[in-house]
Amino acid sequence: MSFTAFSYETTIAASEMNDNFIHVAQGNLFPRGGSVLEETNGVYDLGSDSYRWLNTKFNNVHLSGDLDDCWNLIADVILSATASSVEITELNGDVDEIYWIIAKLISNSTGTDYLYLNINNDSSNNYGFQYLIADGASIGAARNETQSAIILTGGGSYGSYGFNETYVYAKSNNERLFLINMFREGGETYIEQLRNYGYIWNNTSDTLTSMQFTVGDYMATNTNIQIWTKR
Amino acid sequence: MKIIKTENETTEHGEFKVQTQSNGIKVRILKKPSASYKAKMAKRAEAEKARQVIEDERLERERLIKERMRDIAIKQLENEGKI
Repeated sequence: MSFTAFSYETTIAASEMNDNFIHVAQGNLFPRGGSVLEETNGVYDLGSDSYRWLNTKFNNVHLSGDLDDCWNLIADVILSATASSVEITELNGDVDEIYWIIAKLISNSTGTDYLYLNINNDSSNNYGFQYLIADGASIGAARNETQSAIILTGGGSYGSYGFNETYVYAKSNNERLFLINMFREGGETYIEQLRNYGYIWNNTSDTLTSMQFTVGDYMATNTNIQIWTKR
Repeated sequence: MKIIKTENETTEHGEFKVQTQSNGIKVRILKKPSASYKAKMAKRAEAEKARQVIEDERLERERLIKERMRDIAIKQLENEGKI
């Protein structure tokens, strides 16, 4: 394949023009296709595995899809009204392998209320935990092997906060593993408790396809649940 | 991702808003829980509350024991003239 240098006021053969554009078209530089180069949307790549651009310089990048080999936000639920549960479905833990959950609970309850997580609608006693807890100047620990859900965080009085970060190892053929950092019942400059949990879901066979986030009462408006995964 | 479709759905658990995202993931938000769903959640909350009460009592017992042991240790060290 040759490359033709254009000269002022000099015509070139169509084939030479074609050769030139093959150089850039290998990377699908132009988002156009068909016999008349019609406009396309979401069809062509910029660069390819074999023909890569060296560096890219952008001020901002606006994505509507995934960023490869990075954490991608795949669900971001901000409640516009109170709700009792939020369920995320059409997940595939075998493909995604690891999830990162960030949850901010705003309590709509007058008393202590927890934000729970169930996997694949399993609410049998198939979960176990070991935790460390800091409550004021007291430190404690506990283990339980017959839990019906995973505690992510909790609120206290109306409008108080619970905040959670959870890493999930989601691939089947293993017990599913959860590492949780959270505080519960926060407001003003006060935090009731800080907890660090290891949880385990003893199901090794089923593909993780859904997560159910539930409370005893209601989650308040602006409660936020995000799920990230590496894609 | 964008929300490409929003539907309402009613099941035994109550009334849901179901959002389908452009990445294929669905979000189901329970807006109005049914009475049976509320009862189920209340039962779970009670169980957790009971477990927490037992746990709190155990922690308090541990705290008292540790405090007493500390007091005894301080007295012994004082008697031995080490502190």
